[in-house]
Amino acid sequence: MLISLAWRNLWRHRKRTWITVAAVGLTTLMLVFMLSFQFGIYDTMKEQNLKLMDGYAQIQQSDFLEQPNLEHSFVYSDQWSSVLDKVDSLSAYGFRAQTYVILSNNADTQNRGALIMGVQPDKEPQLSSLAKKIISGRYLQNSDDHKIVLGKQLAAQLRSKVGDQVQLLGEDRDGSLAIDLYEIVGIADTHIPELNRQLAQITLSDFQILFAMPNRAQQLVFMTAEIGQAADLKPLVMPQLQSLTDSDLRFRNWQALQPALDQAIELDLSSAILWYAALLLIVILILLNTLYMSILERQNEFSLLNALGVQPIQISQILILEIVFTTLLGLISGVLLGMAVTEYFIFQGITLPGSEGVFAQFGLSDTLYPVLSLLSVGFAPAVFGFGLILLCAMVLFKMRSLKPLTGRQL
Amino acid sequence: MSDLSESLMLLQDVTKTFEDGNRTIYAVDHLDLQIRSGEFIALYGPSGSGKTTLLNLIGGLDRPSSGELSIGEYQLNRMSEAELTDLRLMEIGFIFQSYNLIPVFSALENVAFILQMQGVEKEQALKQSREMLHQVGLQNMENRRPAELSGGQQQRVAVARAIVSKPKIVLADEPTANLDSQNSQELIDLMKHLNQTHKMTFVISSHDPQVIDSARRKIHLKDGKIVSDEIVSD
Ligand SMILES: Nc1ncnc2c1ncn2[C@@H]1O[C@H](COP(=O)(O)OP(=O)(O)OP(=O)(O)O)[C@@H](O)[C@H]1O
Ligand SMILES: [Mg+2]
Repeated sequence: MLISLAWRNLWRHRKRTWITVAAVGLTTLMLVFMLSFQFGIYDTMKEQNLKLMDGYAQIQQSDFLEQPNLEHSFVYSDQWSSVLDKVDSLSAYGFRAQTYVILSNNADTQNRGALIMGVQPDKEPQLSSLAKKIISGRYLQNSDDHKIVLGKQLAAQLRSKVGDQVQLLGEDRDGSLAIDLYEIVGIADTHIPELNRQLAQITLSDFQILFAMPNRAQQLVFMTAEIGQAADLKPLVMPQLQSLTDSDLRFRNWQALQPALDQAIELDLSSAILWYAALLLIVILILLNTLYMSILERQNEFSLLNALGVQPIQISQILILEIVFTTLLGLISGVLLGMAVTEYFIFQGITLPGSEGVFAQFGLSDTLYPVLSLLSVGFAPAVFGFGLILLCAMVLFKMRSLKPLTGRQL
Repeated sequence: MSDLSESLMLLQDVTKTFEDGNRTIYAVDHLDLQIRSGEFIALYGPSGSGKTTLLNLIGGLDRPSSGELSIGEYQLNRMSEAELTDLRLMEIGFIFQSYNLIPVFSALENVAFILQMQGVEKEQALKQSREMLHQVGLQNMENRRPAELSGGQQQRVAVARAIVSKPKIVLADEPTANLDSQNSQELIDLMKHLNQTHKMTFVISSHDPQVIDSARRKIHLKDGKIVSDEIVSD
């Protein structure tokens, strides 16, 4: 009975009903898409950033993160591969070591500080996009002996080109002098000036010999197909690897590797959430106002029902049914449409016109793919759910003071 | 008093006051009244004499400022709002001057609504309501919405709804005020007919001589007091 009355009322005030449904639906749709888009940006940021060097996760010697020096390296063995090769979600892994050195050119006219890295040339292209950013010459190969790849600026500062030799001067793991000559085989342009000024890579085997650290590395870099899978690696690899070495190992997720990126994303997300919440609140206030007006407008109707013997609480039920139905309809259609639109762009990708250069500077590709997540889909419904409680509270409050219709009100 | 039927309603020393600024208005002023089952009463008097106020008190739409008011075993002035609402649902039929019907329901549904709210099965409620609409002469208009009915027809639906659940008493506040004289007469005849065939009690407030003339008991109100109370024998 009450349900049918509520249903009829919705039809009677068709326009108002549809406007409410549309308001809730469109806001929800927009938020689902916007948040998914935002998560897409974050994912792209993470991906591009981490793919550049760090990988999605690493195992390091426990003190390496705080003090990245040669002393903080771990001992590894061939047995490690048999553990790592069994992990399905692991798409690539590779060892690295690094230290600061002074590079000088052939004529010894220019000296520059650089971060020299020992890498595994066959693994590196899957771990780091640097290997693909060679603008002259080639990247390192496993068989290379005394070959080096330099960043664009560094090469320019050293006034050197592919084929030239550079001298490398540093301190090995025992504190003795490490010095040797290397031939430039490739020059890389990362589009990141800071990296271009510092980048210098040799093979890990050269590195281990030069710096007197056989079978040692500081980082074991992991790549997975999805960034989300990386955190799950820890229980899969840590116990076994730790049992194979005396060194103290630590698993580092991407948040530990790039705390600034993590914080930037968190900050950006919370400010976005605040803005969206404010937007939703405005919509909820408008809905409250609409409901308030409609209760005033229908006062006679409710008073008549009450005069005829319908309890105020039952009248509230009618109204609440109306509100819940409209809001739910708006929410469901908003979520479904929002997901559909988002899915379309997940499939299609979003290219922001005229943005190629800008994005490249920050290491981003110009095509973004939104990401549906619990937060992006659930945020608007959650806030509207809260709004629904407000609306119902107002109904109950207004109906408490309901007076039955009397001849005088007419 | 020739009528020997039992007492239905009793008002003892009932007063209803309204504060108008610093003035107290006695809309109903220390009034005593007994209503017997099966009566057909017209309340008349000048505007502001307290007719509506009195009907509201009798129907439990409003509470007296003082005095005792009872319908059968119910003591109206001692009941809570919720109890009064239930009493209205179960025991009292209302016919207002206008805005009587639920706009989203058809004539039939409007009549059946009360029964269903009382807990009568839907099928049974619809059947009884159909018979009732038949009795008020609206057998062909069951499915029309109030907006699709004339004023007179709407009032007939209101009458059907007021009596379908066989209430103890039917109250009508100026039911003919918005009708032309032919429709008024038809409505009066209908109510009189129902009063006679079902022994249903009617209290009708009106300025309308047609209504007053047709009543068997005429109560003249002035300044919240009864100035005359006469019973015409047929
Ligand atoms: N809510 C109220 N507040 C203040 N005064 C009121 C209120 N309701 C009624 N009154 C006063 O009570 C008196 C009786 O009013 P009531 O409506 O009962 O008269 P009535 O006989 O029905 O008049 P009418 O024939 O015009 O319908 C009037 O003086 C009116 O102004
Ligand atoms: Mg009146």
